[in-house]
Amino acid sequence: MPGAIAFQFPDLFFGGLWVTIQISALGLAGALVIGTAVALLRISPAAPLRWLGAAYVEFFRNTPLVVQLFFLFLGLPLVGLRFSSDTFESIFRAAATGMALYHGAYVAEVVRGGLLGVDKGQIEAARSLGLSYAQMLRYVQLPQTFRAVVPPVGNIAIALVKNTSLASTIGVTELLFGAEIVESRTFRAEESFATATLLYLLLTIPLGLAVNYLERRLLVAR
Amino acid sequence: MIEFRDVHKHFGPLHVLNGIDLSVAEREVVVIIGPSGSGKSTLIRTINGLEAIESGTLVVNGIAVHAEHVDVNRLRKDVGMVFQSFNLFPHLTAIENVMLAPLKVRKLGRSEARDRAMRLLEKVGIPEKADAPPARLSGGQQQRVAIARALAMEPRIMLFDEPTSALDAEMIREVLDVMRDLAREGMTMLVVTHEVGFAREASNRVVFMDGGRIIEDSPTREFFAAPREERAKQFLSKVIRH
Amino acid sequence: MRGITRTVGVALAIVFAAACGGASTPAASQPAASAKASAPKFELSTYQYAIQTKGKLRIGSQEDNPPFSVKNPATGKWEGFDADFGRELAKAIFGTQDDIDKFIEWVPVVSATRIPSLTDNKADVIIKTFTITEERKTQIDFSDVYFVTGQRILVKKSNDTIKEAADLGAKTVCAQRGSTSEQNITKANPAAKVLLLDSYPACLLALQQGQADAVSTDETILFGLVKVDPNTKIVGKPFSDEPYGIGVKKNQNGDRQGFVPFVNTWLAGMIQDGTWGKLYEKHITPVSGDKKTSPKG
Repeated sequence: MPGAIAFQFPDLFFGGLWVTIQISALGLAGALVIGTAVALLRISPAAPLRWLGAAYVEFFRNTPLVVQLFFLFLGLPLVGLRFSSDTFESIFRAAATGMALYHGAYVAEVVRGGLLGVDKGQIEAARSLGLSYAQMLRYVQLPQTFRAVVPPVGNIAIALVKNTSLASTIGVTELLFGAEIVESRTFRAEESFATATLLYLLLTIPLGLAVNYLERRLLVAR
Repeated sequence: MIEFRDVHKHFGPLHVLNGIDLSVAEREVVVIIGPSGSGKSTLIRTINGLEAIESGTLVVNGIAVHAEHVDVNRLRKDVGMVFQSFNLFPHLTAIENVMLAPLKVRKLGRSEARDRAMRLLEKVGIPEKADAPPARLSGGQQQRVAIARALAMEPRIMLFDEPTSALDAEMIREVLDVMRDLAREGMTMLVVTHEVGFAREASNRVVFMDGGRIIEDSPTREFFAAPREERAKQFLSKVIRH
Repeated sequence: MRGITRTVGVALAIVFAAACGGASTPAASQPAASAKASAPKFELSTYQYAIQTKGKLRIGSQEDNPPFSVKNPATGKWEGFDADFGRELAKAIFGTQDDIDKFIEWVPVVSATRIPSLTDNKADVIIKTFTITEERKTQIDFSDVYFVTGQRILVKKSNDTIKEAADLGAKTVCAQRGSTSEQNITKANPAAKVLLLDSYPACLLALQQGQADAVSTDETILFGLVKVDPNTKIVGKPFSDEPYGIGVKKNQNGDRQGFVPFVNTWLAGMIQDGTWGKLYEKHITPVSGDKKTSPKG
């Protein structure tokens, strides 16, 4: 029976699932912050800031996530930077950081689109009321942007959950890693990976439903 | 209170403001009319710094708007503006739209801002719509909320940029009534509009613009009795017929 | 997903091979080879006779498995213990030749293609750090053991706290995911913290960057890593047994008649006449530092 193997190796499957959840949550939170900041750079009135934002997006979108993870894990120590003196803490943080940096680039593009989608007249109205640029962003442009970008950001979040499996390449004991270890010990490949698939679906399907729900609610509110 | 001296501005090849000289005194209500593309909207948008001027001087409420490092936020606290397309914030309710600037710019307390917003919504005649989102309001109601929103900052000058152009005929009246009351209370107002009736009834002066220039600047009664300029005459005859 | 580690691995292998390239001399080009009169005589029914008649021995080996087999990218010549071992086997079939490589067809394999290249008859023999296991024996035949290795520990040269498996407690030890090495480490020292990556070059990087205290796997693989990074050293006694054999297709309907016994006889002779010891000294001693005259030591 698929899934039963999870209870024979709970540390590897449920422990791995928990690590996947943690990396996903930290990575998503980071990606939202980074994505918003980079999007603001990209629409900034100052050209050098716009270039900086564009460079960030192009760099992180156009290099493989695995390469970025390896750089964070094994490249940063070359220049004397280390997430933690403990290797396992270090790879965990490298993985969460990698998820945030990489998906932040995608969030930035979506948020930029949302910011540009806010009617120019509203920006003028806010400014003519005496709101500063920062206040206008915070109270007028960003709240509307966040509503508009819920569906695409939801898709990025689902992609992020699946991409956490790449963290296994730098030795993070997440869900896929657990499944591979079980497979190598038991040679029960189909069962191991079918179980991992079920557990991934357990995360991504509710996430998709949550996004749909939010989308509908925001639509009604508008 | 507002002083234009030889103000110029281009949009590409278009000389949209071509040597504007204009003074508006406190408590004056000035209506600006003219064909589309004549520079009327641009003219009033320079007053709160939404459009920058290229040369000449412009002093508003004692602030030199033409200066290099003008504090536009300070300028805008005293200048309210109402737009053709209302521009209410769709994610906020009517009363939240009115409260936003007093809360964040004037730093009023929440209850004080709410009281003030409620008074203003009563003043524009729609207190019952306070908690409705803009999408549930008619165009006329939205524009009245927009006026309340501008008034909430207690401005000394109000700018109206074609406030009724986007409204269905039956809603124009309710907006103009609010504006007329405001004029009677002594607000300094600049109004870009085609509403000749409002100009006749509520304004002190009419400024006629064409091709980026002020062609005629006369007291209202004189302007409607006998426009001095041929172009103003032609324009007026068209507008009144429609 | 394993692209990066594979890329790193290939890059390291190329660096290694290029470093060796300077020292080796390219094979002199010669006119077409012809079997000399010294060629041994075989029974007509045997597979070694069939190979001799065809004029080519097909040897399967890996292009980047130092110090056992490396195809030098500069010269195209195969080098290493397994490569020279294959040449000796060719000599046993074709006799002493001016250029034995004329009688060899090299078939590149990786771990996963070793058994298929025999069962699909793409190679006559597999000589590639091929551990003899009961499971594999159900699919192919093995010669007698020609090399014995075991799992050992690689550390930085400056490290003198880790000397054997018992010192690995609370240390971070890197091994390849899905290998038996991981389980061997846990068996040898349950207190070791095992970091599992996709390849040994990745483990070497982790060691170099201080993310791992040690790397542990087959001594033979560690030999290759030491050659890549001379600032590392191999320590401790082997704590697992990995016997290598030469892989041969199972004899079906007489198609490999007499071949495994022939290889075993030749192998025994190699050990007896000292050729095995010379090859060990040439290829293994430079990285292991020890000398052996037979697989058993």
